[in-house]
Amino acid sequence: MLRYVLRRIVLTVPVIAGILLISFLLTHVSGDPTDLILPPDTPDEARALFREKHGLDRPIWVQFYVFSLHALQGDFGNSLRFHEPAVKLVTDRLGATTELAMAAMALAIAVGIPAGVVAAYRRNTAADVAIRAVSLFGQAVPSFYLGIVAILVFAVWLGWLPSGGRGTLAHLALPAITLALGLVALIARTTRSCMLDVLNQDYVRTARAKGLGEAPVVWVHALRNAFIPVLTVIGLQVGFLLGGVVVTETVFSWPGVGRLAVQAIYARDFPVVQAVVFFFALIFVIVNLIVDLLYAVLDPRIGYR
Amino acid sequence: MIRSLRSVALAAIVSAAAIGSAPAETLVVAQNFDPQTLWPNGTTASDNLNAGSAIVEALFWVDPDGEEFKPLLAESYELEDNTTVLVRLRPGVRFTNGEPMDADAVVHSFNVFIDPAKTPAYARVSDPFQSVEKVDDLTVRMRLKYPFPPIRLALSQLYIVPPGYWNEVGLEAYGQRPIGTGPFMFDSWARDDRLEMVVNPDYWGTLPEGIDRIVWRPVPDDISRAAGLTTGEYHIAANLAVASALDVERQDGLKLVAVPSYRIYQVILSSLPEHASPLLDKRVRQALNHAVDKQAIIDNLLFGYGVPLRGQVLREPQLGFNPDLEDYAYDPDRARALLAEAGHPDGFEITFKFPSGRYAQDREVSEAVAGMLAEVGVRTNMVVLEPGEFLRQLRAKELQPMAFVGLAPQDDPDLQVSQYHSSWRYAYLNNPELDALIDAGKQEMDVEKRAQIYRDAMTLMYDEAPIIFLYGGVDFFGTSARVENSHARGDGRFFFYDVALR
Amino acid sequence: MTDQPAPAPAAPDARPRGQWGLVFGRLMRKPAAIFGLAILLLFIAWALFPALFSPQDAYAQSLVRRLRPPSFLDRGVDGYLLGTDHLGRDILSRIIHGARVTLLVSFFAVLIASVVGIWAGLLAGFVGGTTDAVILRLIDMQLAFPVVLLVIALVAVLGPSVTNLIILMGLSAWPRFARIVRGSVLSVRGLEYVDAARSIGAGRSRILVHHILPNILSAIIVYASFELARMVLLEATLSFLGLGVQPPTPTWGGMINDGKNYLSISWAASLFPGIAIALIVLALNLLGDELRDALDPQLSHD
Repeated sequence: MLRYVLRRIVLTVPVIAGILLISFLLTHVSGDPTDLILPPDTPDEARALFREKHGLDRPIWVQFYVFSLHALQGDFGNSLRFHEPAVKLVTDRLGATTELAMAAMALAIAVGIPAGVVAAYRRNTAADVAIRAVSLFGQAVPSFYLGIVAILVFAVWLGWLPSGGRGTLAHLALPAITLALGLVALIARTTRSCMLDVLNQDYVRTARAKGLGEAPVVWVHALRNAFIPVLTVIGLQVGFLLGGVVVTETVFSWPGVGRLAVQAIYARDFPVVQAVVFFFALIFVIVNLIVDLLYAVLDPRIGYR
Repeated sequence: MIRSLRSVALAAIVSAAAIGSAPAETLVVAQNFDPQTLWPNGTTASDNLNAGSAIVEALFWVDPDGEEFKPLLAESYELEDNTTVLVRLRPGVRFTNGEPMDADAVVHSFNVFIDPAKTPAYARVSDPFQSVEKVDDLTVRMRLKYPFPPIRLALSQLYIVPPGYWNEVGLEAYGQRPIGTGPFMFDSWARDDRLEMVVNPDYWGTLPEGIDRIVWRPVPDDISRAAGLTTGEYHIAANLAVASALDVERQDGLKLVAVPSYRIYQVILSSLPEHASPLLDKRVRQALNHAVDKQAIIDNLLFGYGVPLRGQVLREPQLGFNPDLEDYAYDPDRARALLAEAGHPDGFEITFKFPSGRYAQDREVSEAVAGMLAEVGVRTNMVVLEPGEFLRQLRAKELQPMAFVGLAPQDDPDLQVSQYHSSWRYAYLNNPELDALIDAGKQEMDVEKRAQIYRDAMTLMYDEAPIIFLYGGVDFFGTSARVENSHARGDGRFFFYDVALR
Repeated sequence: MTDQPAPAPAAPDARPRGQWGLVFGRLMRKPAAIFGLAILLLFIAWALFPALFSPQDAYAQSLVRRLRPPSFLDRGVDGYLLGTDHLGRDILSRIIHGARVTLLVSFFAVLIASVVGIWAGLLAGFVGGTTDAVILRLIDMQLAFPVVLLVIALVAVLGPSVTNLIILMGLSAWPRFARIVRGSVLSVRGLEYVDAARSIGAGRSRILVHHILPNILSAIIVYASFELARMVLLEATLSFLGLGVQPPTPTWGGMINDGKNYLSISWAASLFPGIAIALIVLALNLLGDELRDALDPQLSHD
């Protein structure tokens, strides 16, 4: 077990290194930050000084060498806009993003898995149809639209919740629900689909034949086995969540990493883009390592090689 | 929430006791973005400047009411000759850390200002300055490299910082925690969430009435910003979209402040020989101007909130505006006739680039323009660009042969017109006659002669039609009806001098 | 579902030749499947022959009759059934024309994603070892990479076009298929019949095609219907970021994005394209579910 974890952690290194290399190349070919950070009428000498100060005048391979050297020590350089270390800009906002993403994920799991189990167990009944119809809604509406409609309805018309910002639970409600809606659908449907598969497997029938009650059969035997693909989907959705916070944080003025990321990409603030990509990749890899470990806990047939 | 309520209440009691007037409260301002730095000379972005200049003040300022030039930390200036400026400072002003605001502070700030490595964003207006010397404690003499007619503009952008504190913490840390002479002092800053300032009780001038604290909230989405104003979460929401502006206008308890902006919307029609296209022919460029119904765009897409350009790029209150010019009339028949005359009786096909998300309504105005051009046979291949890529192409002269842009130079005819000088890095024309006029205006210190030069330049540009003259933008600020005397300016700036919260 | 006596499990490789005919027959007995198919066919017809269905020119602008509500309401204009957009164009005609690019982009993106993803997933799950490790690392790299950054950078370099958009969107989604397929392969690999097939000496590719693929097909189909919906929304999000399909070509996502700015003046401009997206998502999901059930003989008894 420990050997497996260590091996996986070692394997993470090339993944993150690869991501950093690709994102470095992509950001550097996508434009010059000088154009975006200084006003368009800035004289050439001032532009040249800016480029020199931030090392943008050097050949790209030299820039990459310098970047790698510092990155190895956990230093992604200073933001071109904020005059602060890029890593600090990201870590300062990580808490807000984690809060939002965890709330959304918890909400989605708390609603999605029971809904999926009920839908599978009561297949083709009114409950199944209702669950499928509602989860459909979350999938069919772009989150930027959903967020805006939510603000207009709950903040402006009804006056129940604040329109944006971070602070109390009331501030968290709208962005978390908006972010969760797209996930609930996916989790509920995957659960339903996998439960249907499992409910017809031999061991479930055996359990039933042995006279176990319906509830333990469904909630323990079946769900435990249906959980593996559901877990895969949840693990993959961490990437979706990190992408989703980009839009949700912008619409609800949530002070998180997603908003920082999109502004950094637009401004070609290379160090910040690199730092965000690094942290997103790290979180993603860690979560999926945990998911893979959980596989083995849930299904002894999967061994560690 | 509770904590801030308590602090408001506490502050209210304290100030009511001190002044014995109506209790002061917190003013909440929502802008698009969190400031990158609070040192005003760090960037030219209006979100940064609005917040930063509440703490750090300049020598002069341009009041948007009548665009009047008014003293702040200076009392007056005089031109000793074309390249020497004598500035007299306001006596008795101190920074909030106790340092005196005097000639030494100005000399220090001046030397930072003219160093393009430290203030690259201001290089265009700081370039003419050569050196400064202290005459006495309250007088400095600045020397210029060459005569610079927009000297007032430059003096209104030189912000004065305390040399002791600056040297102690350095440029970067200063921007994160500035000390100045302004009506407010830095208090706390939770990035991307809230920036708080408290009133400066020892302020040298008149403090805004009824306000003891300002909270700045960055709210990037246009609709959320307007929503928060409606729900009373913000007292001021900057930079509203036009549909939200209409909502604000309709609501009781809210005020809409619509400010004609310095931004001039236009369609580049490249006449550079290396950008081969039918636009090289002046008649074609004029035809396109006749083909676009600019008034219909202003009346409908902009709900009336746009300023007709009258066939020139200078705005009506600006020096050099030519009142004799009228814009190309909307006349599709005339457009078709001119196209036929130029050898395109059936129109032609052309690439039309525009940004999506760079300017207010950029995408829909571009689509409307393309629709109107199609009516006279000019079929456009529309190419939408991400804002960053759009700016790169603008500077690389790749926005050709035709592109929608909104250029917002600083408020001076030279800074506006030199964008059409052939040596300018994003000039899509090369006209020696226009170059000569621009060169002459740049050096002319006599106001009337200078105005005439620009009027001539406007007449020439009108005839050459290097652009489709579209409209001047309008910026929208929404405020609570309790906010009085808000000074919003056409460059996205607003100021707290004489503001009152009642 | 009652405790009825279980039928003998059918060996997957014993399915008759005409199994697709059988599946289709089963499908056609389900109202939900017929409904889903009908909507899908209607949208495909719109995509193929938009001019036949459109009441108006989808590109004709009129600034004086912009942002009007549906024709049956106050201020509506006759002939503009669902109202007009911010440039006075007919919303219904734009939805009909929009079906073409919306469906084209989404279908091909999912096609690319599923072909690449299934292939990689099967390979990883079945071959295992170093191949598995390498593919897993590639998947992780792709999944952990922010799509927006990828799209901005590549569109800036390659230039915006429908083809580039399809390829980018497709490549951004392949790992999800690969992960699901790999996970499913791992879970069926240990099952008895696969072991049995292997023990009688069936070759790898035979086991792959005859034993594993049919078993994971339902999971793939359900997932593909999801991904299609996601692609429709991704295109919407990209146009929100200024990176979508070039105007004036209508797409449903682009129409929502344009319409959202005017929510307080006209709800029609963003609601109706939203309904079109909801309908296609509904149709695909119903079809996916029913197809899945029809493919699974064990479920066909109730």
